[in-house]
Amino acid sequence: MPQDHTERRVVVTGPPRQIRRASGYYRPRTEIDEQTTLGHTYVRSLMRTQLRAALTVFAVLGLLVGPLPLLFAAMPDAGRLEWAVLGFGLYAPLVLLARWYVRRAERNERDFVRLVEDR
Amino acid sequence: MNSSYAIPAVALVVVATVLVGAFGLRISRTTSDFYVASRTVGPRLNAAAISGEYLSAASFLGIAGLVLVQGPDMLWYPVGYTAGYLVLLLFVAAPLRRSGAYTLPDFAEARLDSQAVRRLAGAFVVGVGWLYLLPQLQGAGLTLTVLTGAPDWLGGVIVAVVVTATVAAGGMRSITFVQAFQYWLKLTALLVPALFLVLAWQSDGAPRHAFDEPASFREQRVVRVGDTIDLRLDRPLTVTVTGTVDGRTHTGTRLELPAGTHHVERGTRLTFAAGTAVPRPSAASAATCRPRRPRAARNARCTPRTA
Repeated sequence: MPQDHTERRVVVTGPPRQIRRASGYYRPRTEIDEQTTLGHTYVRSLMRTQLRAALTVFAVLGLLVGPLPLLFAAMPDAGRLEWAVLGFGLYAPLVLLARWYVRRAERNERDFVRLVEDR
Repeated sequence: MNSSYAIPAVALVVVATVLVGAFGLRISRTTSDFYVASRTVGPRLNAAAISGEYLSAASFLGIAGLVLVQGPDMLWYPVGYTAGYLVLLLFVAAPLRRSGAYTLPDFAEARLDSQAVRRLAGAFVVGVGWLYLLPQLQGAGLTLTVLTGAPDWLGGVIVAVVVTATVAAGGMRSITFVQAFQYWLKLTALLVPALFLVLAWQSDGAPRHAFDEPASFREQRVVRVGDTIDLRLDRPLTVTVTGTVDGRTHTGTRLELPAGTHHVERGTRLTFAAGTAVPRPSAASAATCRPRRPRAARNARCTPRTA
């Protein structure tokens, strides 16, 4: 019988006890899992960061594309410029913006995981 | 285009589409496979499928036609699609992925916790799909009519039948494969002719003449001839001369120069009326005037010195 105790694992089911929190087990992860106000604040901060990244990219997109019609209106003879910009040049910055955003969002997620895991 | 090639080509694409759909059918097994490809479409495959939507009849044929008719302003359309994809990434795709949802109605329900919003989102997806579908079917009909002389409705019907059969048999998995396959097919169909057109354009040496109208003066201009040149005229030219042309000296005389080569001494002032075509120097004196590299020839012609 003693050998059985060391080798066989027994699954214990039941409601988790609240003792953990009382013994100072304040990890953000627990807060998030239990959906406390503090946990909610953690998640909220991540969502804010992600939204800020998205809005930044959106603003850059607006500043990049917005003035172009004005530029073309100011230079009616610049047909070649229009071809070069609209046909070719504009796509590279768009791809780079998207890339930057994806990298940024993934970094935000990693930072959040680190914050949550390392208390 | 020769319709003897068009019909086999169209048939080939249809058969290839059905085969690719059938390949998806072999993998597709469960209900979840059917609706959402078991939520396991990889990023590359999905990217190809979504880009297949981008290279639709609207962008494949519509933009080309619009640019041909209306000029480069129409290039705003593809820019708009692409910028729209970026906005989609920022505000829809990324939050959708983070939420763990897989479809838009999933996301709407997860975010707003409402079955009614889920249904509404589903209705919008179908509505947008329908709006997107109409021009594609129109494009299919038009293309088939132009290529083979078939009646208007036939192209739309063929596309509708093939796609409906593929979707009904294989569901999401099949149609993802089909879209990805068509993306590569359409990309090839765009790039190969584009490559040959560029090659033909280059070898023809057309850039100088293909697009430029003969240059003309926008307003009345006085040109002082710095070096003695020979002007070669294709058409008669009316010009006011102060100086020596063809060995005769004039002072403010209005001359009607006939077509042919004319010798203009240095220091001569030529006054051109508005709308007059700019005469080109003849080959002998052209070397000093024209830039050497043919690529730059379009902008820089023999620039007149204004007095």
